[in-house]
Amino acid sequence: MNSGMGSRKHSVAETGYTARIATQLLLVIGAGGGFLYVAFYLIFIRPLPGTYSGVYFALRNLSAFLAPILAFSMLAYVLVLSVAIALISSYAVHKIAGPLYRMERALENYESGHGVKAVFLREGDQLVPLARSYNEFVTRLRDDRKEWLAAMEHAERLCLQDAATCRAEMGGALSRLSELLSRYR
Amino acid sequence: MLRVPRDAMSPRAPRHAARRTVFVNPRFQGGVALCFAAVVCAGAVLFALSFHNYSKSALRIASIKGHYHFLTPYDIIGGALGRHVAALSVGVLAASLLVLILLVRRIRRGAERLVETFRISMDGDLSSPANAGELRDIADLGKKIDAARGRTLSKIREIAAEAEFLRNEPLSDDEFARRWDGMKAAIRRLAP
Repeated sequence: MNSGMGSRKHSVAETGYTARIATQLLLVIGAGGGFLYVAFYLIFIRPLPGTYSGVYFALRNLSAFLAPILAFSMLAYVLVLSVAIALISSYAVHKIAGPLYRMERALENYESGHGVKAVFLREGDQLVPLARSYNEFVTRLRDDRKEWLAAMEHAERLCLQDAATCRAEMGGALSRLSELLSRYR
Repeated sequence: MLRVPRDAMSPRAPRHAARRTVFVNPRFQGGVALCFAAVVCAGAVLFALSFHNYSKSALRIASIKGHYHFLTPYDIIGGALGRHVAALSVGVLAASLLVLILLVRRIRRGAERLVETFRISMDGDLSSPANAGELRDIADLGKKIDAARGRTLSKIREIAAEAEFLRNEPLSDDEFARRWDGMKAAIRRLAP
């Protein structure tokens, strides 16, 4: 499990992640090329007749039928390779789409007024720094909020004394609060 | 593997962390798959045109030299087939890697802008826009982050205005206490 908070450095999209996709692409495209070569080899390896006219007509026929043979072969190649690469890329991009979805849910949770939860990502997910920075932002906001409340509650405790002291302390707390809030712009 | 302290944000966080998100984003994942499919398609079309032109003429030339000994058509166009398939594979691979690199770069740039947005927010800047507009999904997330920051800033401004009001206006004790409690409640509602 990846958390959004930790000491280990993560890049937004790790080099290993890109290298894994590149390797998978290399294997799939290499295999596709290999199968295409074998398919054409099997088509073109059929023996020619032994006579001059037989070779002439066989090659002429093959030349005429080359376009449909190529069209069918390339259609199969495109379909198979596109599906294979789509599966690879969808799985790979899932490691980015998932965290984006998590972040959207986290922002909805942040604005809902309910308890804000930290964002946790799955093992292997990318965008860990984004989740970490969101968690740190919320933590910082909560720390600030605690400080604001602490200033007010400190003044309230002094209200156990006389009313004039209470009002003066509260005025002081409000000045402190205004000062603390002024850093937000 | 990173682990978060149990009390880092919420005591229930580790239990939620174990949950898996099964989520497919057709626009994002489908768009990327279509980019790769376009690369494969373009490579296949170029291969078909080039190999067809070469093979057609090679077979026609060979047909009028039928007195030479050709056992199979592969003897005539086998070499060209190998070269064309190798060129197709290398070309498609190179173009796919280029697409991958460009995609990762765009994702990285957009996400880094969002990270930077949260960092400046921690320093109190809740108004500078994220401007993560490289990829639509990341740009949309940037807009949502901006909206959340904007609403947080307006709540903070309301609290600041209320603090100023309480500090400067001569209010009765009851009114002051009522507004004081209201302000505390407003502060508690901020990232609860």
